[in-house]
Amino acid sequence: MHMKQYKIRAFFVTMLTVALVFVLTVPVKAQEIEVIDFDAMLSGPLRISIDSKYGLADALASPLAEIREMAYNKAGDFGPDAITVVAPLLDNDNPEVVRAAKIALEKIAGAATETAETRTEASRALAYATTIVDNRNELLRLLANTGTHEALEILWRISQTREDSYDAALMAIENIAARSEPGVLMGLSLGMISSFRTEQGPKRIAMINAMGTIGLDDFVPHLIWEVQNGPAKERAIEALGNIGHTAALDVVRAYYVEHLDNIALEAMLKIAEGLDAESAREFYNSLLASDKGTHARVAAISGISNVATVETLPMLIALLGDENIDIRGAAHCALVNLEGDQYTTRLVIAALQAEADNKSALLNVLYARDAETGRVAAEAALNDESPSVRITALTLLGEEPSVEHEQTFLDASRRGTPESRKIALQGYLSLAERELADNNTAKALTMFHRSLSLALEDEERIRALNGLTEIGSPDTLNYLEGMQHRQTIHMPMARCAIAIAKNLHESDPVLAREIYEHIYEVGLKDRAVEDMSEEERQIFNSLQKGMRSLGIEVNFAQNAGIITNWQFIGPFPLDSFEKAYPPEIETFDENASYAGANDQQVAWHRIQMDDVFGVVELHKVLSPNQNVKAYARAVVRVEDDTQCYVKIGSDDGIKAWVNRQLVHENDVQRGLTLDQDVKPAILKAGENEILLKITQAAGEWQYVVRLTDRQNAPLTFNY
Amino acid sequence: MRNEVISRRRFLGLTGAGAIGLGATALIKAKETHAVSHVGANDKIHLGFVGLGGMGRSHMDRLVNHKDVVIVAGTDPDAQRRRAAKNFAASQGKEISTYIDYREMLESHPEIDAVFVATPDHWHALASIDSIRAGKDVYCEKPLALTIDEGKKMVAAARRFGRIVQMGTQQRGDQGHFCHACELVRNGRIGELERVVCYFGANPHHGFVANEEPPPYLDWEYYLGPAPFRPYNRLIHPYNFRFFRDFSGGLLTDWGVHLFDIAQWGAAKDFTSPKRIEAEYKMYRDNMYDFPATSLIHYDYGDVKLEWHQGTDIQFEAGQDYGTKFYGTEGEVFVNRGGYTARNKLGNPINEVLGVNDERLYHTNSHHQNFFDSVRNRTLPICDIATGHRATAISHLGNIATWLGRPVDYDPVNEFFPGNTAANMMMTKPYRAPWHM
Repeated sequence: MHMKQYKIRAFFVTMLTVALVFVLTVPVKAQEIEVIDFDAMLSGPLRISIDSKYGLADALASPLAEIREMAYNKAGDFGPDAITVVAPLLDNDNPEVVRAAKIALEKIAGAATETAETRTEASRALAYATTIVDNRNELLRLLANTGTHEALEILWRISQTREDSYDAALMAIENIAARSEPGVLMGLSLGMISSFRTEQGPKRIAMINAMGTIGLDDFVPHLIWEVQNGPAKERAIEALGNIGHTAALDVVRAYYVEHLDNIALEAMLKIAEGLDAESAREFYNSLLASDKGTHARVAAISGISNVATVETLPMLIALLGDENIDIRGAAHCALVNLEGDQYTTRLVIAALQAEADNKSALLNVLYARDAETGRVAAEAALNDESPSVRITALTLLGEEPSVEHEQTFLDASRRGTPESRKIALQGYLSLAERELADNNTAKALTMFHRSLSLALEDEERIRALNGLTEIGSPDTLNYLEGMQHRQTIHMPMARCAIAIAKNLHESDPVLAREIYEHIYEVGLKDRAVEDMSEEERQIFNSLQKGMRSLGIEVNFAQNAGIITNWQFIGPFPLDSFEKAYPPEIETFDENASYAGANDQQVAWHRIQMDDVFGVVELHKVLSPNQNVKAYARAVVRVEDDTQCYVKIGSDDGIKAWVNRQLVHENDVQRGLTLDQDVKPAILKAGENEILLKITQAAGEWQYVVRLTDRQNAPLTFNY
Repeated sequence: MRNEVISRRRFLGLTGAGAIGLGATALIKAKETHAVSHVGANDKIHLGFVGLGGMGRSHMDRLVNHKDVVIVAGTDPDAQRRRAAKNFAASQGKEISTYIDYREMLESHPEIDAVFVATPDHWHALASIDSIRAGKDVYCEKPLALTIDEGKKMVAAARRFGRIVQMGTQQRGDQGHFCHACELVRNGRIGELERVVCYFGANPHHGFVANEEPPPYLDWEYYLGPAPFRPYNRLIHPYNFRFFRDFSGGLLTDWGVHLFDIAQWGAAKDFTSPKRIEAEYKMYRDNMYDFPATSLIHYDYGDVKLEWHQGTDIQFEAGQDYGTKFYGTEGEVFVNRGGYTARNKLGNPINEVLGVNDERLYHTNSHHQNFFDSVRNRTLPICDIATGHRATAISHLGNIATWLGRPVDYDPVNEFFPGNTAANMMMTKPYRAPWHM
């Protein structure tokens, strides 16, 4: 049935519906107003049947959302013949009808593509539909999904005859052709070649690109011609690379030599992947020997590793000593990737015979290929006359250290160059960590203490401190005292001291308290919260928790001007950022409740944050927490009228009022950081209300608010 | 406590042997990358940003003062975003150049070592592959690509040119409890793994919004790039491109990739894919967005079942409305960004101490730092592109089964649907001219 007839039919259905509604709802003094019963409508005289394809189309075109929904849910039960009946709805003026039609067509086409026979039927139906519909791009996409020969022919015809659908048709052709047997594409290839001779400009480029995707060998001579004579040389090079025919290699290589173009390089490499092993080796060797830059040489080495033989090995080993770090690295990876024990054996022999630098590199290769072989080779190299080889050996043994090497690591960490001592100590620390994991605490403690004394750099000191933090023994306090001058590791030291203090709560609370107060006074008191790292934040939180558990009153967040006492309400449906709910419209009423998201009633709750950053994590306390919003309120008291900054961090969007005056809004999806948005505001003497609206897409949902004066010093306030 | 030194053995253990997910004909092996590092041990890594929206700026804001990097330039078709990024950098005492087109950035700044790709999904493949081809390492936001085919091509390009590519599934890198939870599963603390459930909330819906002229600050033609042409609609940009099929895959790709990544990690399926996928879903009655309201997708690996529950009524984990949960013969482990729980069948805690002989997974404290370390030392990062591709593919497989309306069988080795023409067609979305891959 043609679209026009559908429109007429739908029109009358609509008019009858409207008339019925009008008749039933117009107030008549002597009659009651009747409520519309949709179910009755569907089953009564105006019943809309979805038992036929025409009924399906009628229902999809219904002004009633419920009927459209019913229709597209049933669409998958219909065969491909329904396509031509539904397709005209793609031109409907109502976007919701168009949407319903798209869903229905996808379901019909999806069901129709199950067998070859129905795919052919669907192709023909879709093809016909493209001739009666203006907005046909959706049909072209579905046509591509059928993947049939007919679809290919139809799409080619469309690309040649309908300018407005050229791109969509070509896209669909590429999709099918990339997955079809060459025989299927014969007709297409002739058509494309013929068209290629005459197309110009963007269409020519699109045609060349399509040829590369389709990948027929028939295209190669024409693309070669393009490289040599045509305007779209680079596109043709790329297409030749995608086709991968070896006949194009010389042309592509010549282009690369002249232009040093990365697209040409990639094309060459793709073509080379199709060469036989011997030809490939020859190609990669010549690329390696050419002076065409590191990028090409590295790619050549990678290619060589795929077609290598034992004869190739000496060349790759020699490259381990190249002056170029990139080449050395590429050779390393190539040697690691060679599969087969024959290579391992030869590499072991080469390592035994090599000079110092190459020996280190070969030890690394052996270890990367097989840890056991590498370890054996490294053990043998521990007493090598070359310091760099010994360092390499220690490093490799330290990757997964064995207890039998404990004394070796300890001895090596006491003497030698700083580099070798560092590496040896790292191995020793790994063993200490393993002892700790195995609950050999006493031994681990001794090893960590020893490491602290031997460490030359902070990296090792921090590792030792991390281990000592887990143990939390008061024996460590003396070591910490001796390291107080080491400013760069105050945070790990603080963490360790806090852990020790925590363990002393029961046995020696006085000492525990002393430790906490000392940490705060010496290390943390003057840290500005906005400069804190996540690590410092965790340390501050631990410290605050420890101090409070001993009855010490502290509130680091408030010291930084962060508001920690809140009331919050939600969630409400997101709808839009602007959509306002009662908390931002009405006067505050602590006892009020409102309809929130998912039809739940929502009311105000109190929360006091302990975290030093004062971040309120709404996603942990409100549900649902996707595509929703919530409100938060705080009342702060200041002594005088105060000009301040309100510094807000939020995930996601935020709107902020001070005493119901809007000070900030930011409709954004983002992660939270402190002080993301800084806005000036004025607080009046006495109580001031801070009201926030916080929107949420998905994931974390949180906010933090800080008050500072105009010189950015934390504001003093009460609740 | 963790050994901070990243073990070479660990990352080798991740890669497995031979070609990874590149099909039987691929010659490119992936045990190690080609070590093309032009960044010396003490040099700063020069960064370029493709995409200066929510995630792009999130990365930039965190990295602008990072000791290991220098941000050189950024690109975005939205002039407001370019200006905001420039102003932000200036507020930090830094100067960056901005462009619309990332190709101009790559051309103008050869000093760039690595590129952050944080665009809508339909741009990920092009921007990443062009950067790889230009000799840059890449940090690509999730989902890795818009289609399975794009993902395969990105992996092939990374291996061909020896580039480090990290996918932005930061749960692996930033939050150690994910690693620990997966270690518990892989070391048999809940017995034999039978089933994994990934749960998330429903896709959003929105009433009709008319198309309009694009705002003057937005280059709409460039924004569309390889996607089919459509008029500008303010729902698409700036935030909700995620819910339009031309640009993304709904929450199944937006959040699903995070959850599937952990599921695969815990199930030791990082380098494979499910063999059969079956989907049920329910559409919203009226909606501007393309994706279902709710869905239930079954993925069958053969030995393990994976389920995606979006907005369903499943009894998941008390008090939680998203996450990944592993069900074993002797217990279960649940994990999301808030933490994890591990319990036996009786609901009691399990033994969480890992011994010397237990399998340890790749651990790092920072996804960003891990990427920078990998750029320097040329080891594979914690979410190497091959891993990221497989996690993303799960989402795409789910969408294909959804739109096709019937179960599909998948070959995880060669990555195609045997005998299923229509499904194979849906593995790719060809590009609008003149864009091409």
